[in-house]
Amino acid sequence: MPLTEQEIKWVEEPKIGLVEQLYLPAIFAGLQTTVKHLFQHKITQQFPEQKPKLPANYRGVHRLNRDEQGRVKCVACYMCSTACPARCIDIVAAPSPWPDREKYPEVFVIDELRCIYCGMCEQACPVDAIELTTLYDLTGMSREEMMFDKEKLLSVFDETVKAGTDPIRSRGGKLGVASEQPAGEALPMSSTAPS
Amino acid sequence: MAYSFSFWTTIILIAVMMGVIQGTCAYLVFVERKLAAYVQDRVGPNRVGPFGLFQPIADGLKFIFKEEIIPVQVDKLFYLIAPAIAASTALLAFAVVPFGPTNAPPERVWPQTMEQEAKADPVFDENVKKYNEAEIRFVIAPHVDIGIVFVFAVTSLSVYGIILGGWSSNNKYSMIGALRSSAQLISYEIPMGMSVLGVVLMSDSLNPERIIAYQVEAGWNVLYQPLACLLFLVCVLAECNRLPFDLPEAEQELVGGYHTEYGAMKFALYFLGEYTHMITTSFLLVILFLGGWHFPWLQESGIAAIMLKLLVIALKMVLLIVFYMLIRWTIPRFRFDQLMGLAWKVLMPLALVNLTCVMVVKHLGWSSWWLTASSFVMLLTAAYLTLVQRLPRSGRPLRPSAESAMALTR
Repeated sequence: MPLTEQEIKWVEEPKIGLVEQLYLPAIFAGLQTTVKHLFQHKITQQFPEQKPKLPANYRGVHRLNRDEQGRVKCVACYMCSTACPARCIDIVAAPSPWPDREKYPEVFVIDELRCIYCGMCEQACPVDAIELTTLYDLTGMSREEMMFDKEKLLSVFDETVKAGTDPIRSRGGKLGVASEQPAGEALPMSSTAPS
Repeated sequence: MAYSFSFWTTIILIAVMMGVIQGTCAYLVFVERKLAAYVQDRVGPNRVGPFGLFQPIADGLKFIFKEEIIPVQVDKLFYLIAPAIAASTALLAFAVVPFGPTNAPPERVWPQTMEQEAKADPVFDENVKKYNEAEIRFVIAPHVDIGIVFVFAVTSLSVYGIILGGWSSNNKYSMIGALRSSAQLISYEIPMGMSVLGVVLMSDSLNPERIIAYQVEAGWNVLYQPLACLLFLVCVLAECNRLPFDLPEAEQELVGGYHTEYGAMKFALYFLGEYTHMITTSFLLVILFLGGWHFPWLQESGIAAIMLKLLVIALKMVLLIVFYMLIRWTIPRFRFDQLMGLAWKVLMPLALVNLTCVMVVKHLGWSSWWLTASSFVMLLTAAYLTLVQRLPRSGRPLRPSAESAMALTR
């Protein structure tokens, strides 16, 4: 498209005078800024002594939540395992010893080194059993040590709840729908419910 | 009557100063890191030792224990020699630089004929005897009458370290980086030497000790020749490859540079050479322009005064180096053609005109304050000429016409 005279904007260098051509006043002003910063407050956070303040939805190490009676909330529905993009969750389901639910995870292993900490498992869980905490500085001496099994994940829960750093995350303050239904009954509005 | 030469004093002084300089280089790297951090609103290294003061020791140990790799494609002899040349010439230049209180060696009219030489000069002999009996002189090679020329000659040799490093690396980026760096160094040596000639003329000697003695009587040279001081400062920044002239080092961040193929101790030697160069040239600037160990009300002799004078010269040098480091974080870097243009088109003519003014003033016997005035006049004239050169000449349009601009867009 041809340009018109009005569309062209001419930009000229700003005019400088004799004193500015020396560059010395500008350098001096620059030095003033530099020296001012020497004495200003430093923004470094000295790490092991000062820990960073993490937002509430920070995605760190996983934990398995317990319910009020201290039992593991997980019902071994395999939703998290299926949703995981890194395929790091291994579950073996077993009939649960408690009357109010069908299954419970006999073996629940997460390979923390394969995990990408995306939070898909937390989003997928219907009963708010698995959550990501704000613990980020975990170390291990071997690869086997970093495969967290159920006891370890439950212990993470105990630690964080005791420390009070990670409150239970639940949707809107209510527990998930599936966790309130007694076992064996379908949801009220499901179309496949037995009439 | 000969000057006395004490072998053991010299050896001890050499050993002590080698240690002190290399220790100072290591700590200067630390100071640079801390200063850079503070300017950038952060805290530098502070984990190793209290306030990070053992960091240079950790760095030194790292360099010693690091694996020495010699790549296959390099020219081994020059590859190994090049950092050694860079570091050793920088250290060698320090030999004539006084780092503490010194006396001016006695003057004498040099004999021009055999009869004059045969005739003994008792006054001169007496002065030499007094000079010999003086306390220890804080310079490794005292009464070198060509002191300044020696320093410049030896620092010119350090360009070999860079060229050989780039050449032997057998790497096209190293080669180009080395060529650029050496072009920068040799073009800035000329205004550096010429700006010093004014000082040399005023004090009638190339001997650093005599130059300091002249300033003790007449006042610091920075008062009389501020332009020469400024030129020397700019040239020193360029000689040490510091910002705003560190294009050879910036190339490392970008592509390569003559450091590319060097690791561990050889790399450390290059940096040692650079920081030693910085120390030597800032000592020189202090001696030539800022009065050396002289402080206005400090004239006595005795142990306390000697310590104080040592402290004064060390403090001046350290303040100057801190200034270099602050400048690094203030001004943007010069592009290579701007760098060369600055050296040849601005600094050299200014140094030449400065020298002419000094010659005129000295010949006519005027007061030295005329030199200060002429320095300011020269600086303003240079600025004016640069401004005028930028204005469009008549007959040539400043902007291309609208039609040609539209033709470009088709």
